[in-house]
Amino acid sequence: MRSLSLSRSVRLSTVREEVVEIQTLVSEEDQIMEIKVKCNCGAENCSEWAILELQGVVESQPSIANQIQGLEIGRLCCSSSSSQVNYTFTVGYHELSGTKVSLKKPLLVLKKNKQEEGSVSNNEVDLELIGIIRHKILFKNRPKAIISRPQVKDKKASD
Amino acid sequence: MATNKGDINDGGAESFLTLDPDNSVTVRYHPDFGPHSDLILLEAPDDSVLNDLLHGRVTIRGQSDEDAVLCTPSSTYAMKFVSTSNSVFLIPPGKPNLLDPQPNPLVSVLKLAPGNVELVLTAPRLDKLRFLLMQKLYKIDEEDEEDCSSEGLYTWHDLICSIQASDEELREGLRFLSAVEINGFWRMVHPKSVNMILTMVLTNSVLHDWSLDALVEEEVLSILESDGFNSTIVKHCLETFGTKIENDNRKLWGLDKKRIAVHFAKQVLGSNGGKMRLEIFIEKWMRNVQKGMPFDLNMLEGEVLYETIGAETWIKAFSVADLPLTPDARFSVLFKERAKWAWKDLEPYVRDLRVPGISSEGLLIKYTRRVQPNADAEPIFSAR
Repeated sequence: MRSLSLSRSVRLSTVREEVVEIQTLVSEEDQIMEIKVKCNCGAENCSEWAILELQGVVESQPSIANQIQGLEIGRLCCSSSSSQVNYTFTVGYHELSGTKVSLKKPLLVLKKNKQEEGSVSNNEVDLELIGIIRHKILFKNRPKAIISRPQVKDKKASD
Repeated sequence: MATNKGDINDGGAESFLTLDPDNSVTVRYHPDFGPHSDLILLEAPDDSVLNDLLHGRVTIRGQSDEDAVLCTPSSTYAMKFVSTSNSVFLIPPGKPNLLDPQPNPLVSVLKLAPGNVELVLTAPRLDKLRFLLMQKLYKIDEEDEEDCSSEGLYTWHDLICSIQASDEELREGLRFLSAVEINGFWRMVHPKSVNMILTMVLTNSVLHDWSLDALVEEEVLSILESDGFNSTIVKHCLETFGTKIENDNRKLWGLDKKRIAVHFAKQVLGSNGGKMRLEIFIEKWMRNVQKGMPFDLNMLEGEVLYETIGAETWIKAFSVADLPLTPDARFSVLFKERAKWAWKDLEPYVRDLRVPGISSEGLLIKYTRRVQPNADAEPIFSAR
């Protein structure tokens, strides 16, 4: 019995835009100085992170609820056909197909660092650049349902 | 939090990205999967910003009640959070966990990103700069006054923390205000003091037969210093009213006659709002400006407005340099001054407006109503 599945309703992606207030980057007690965006990696050494993106939501069974750490989501396979590389992502009984996309505008992964309490500097926050994302694997087609062999009386405990 | 998130290197991003045909990976939630609200995704709009980010040349500026702006050394960007309804699974770098008994490499998702921050090029927010520096204008002999506190005084560092602009734009803003750094504080100089020093320079040039096209910095400074004037301020006066001339060993300055003429015109009229009959103005202006200096009304474009009262023409001080820099505030002040503007009068007061992404025509369309009774008539602009 699969513990994770894709939600049935696969909606079209939507975006919503809002302004970033400084308050979200620092906590209220902080005196605002300049927030430096540190980068210890330099152009060549920036760790590369990745993104897997799909339309819709992966849901977990009620019994699992939020204890999903470590749980398997699905299997990602790669295949090539006539000069195109395709990816297949299988989650529960759904199969998604997608492609690898190079981001025209790379995403940078920033981490908010809060200075330790009791340090001499006046509680400054800084942001650290810890990674860069240049590619993602994007699944935007409707999932295909995998129909397994009909199980009549004995339910196999497979998967 | 036991692990330092900067060190997470078992996400398997590498295996994920290098997955090749006929192979597969297993994707799972990382053991530390969670909201990780301290991780933010930021989109780099172009290579130049990307480069600045990767080399640590970027800062975020503003006070806690302001919107955040991101500054590179030369540009300012508004930060907008764009959320998505897609599921964006974030995979940290590194090789997958080798201890796992899975047959496939294991890729782990650390966080579901709700969206990312986009950067939008924006005009630097410099109106605040004038507001801050006007708090305590520099006056000659101010050292003699009792008030020695540094309240209302701002160092470069203070300005960086309060003004939402890049370093380069902040410097340009200071130049625009003719500000000068004295004893570590950036100051605007009181108009009376500016006038006093300029007059001293001009008077001394006559006395010592200096050429206004090639003033010798050393000479000017030493003479005025002996008269009790701070050399930083005197040099600043030369910068405000002149241009440096490249010369082998001596530093020379050529004074700009137009800038000087405009200065004296403003002296005659008084500060913004001061007005008088045009003939009287011209007569006084002629007296103030030194012999041999050219002057004509065209020099005062963007500095004065003309009104017809009865049969007379009056002239009034109205300097574009004193007006707000943001388009909506600028047009608001302009239409408060005059409900209707002919284009030739309006143009000098809007030509300096710059908003990334909008042309000057676009600004007019956005903030004004344009009326043109027929093809031959001049267009008239009024508030929207």
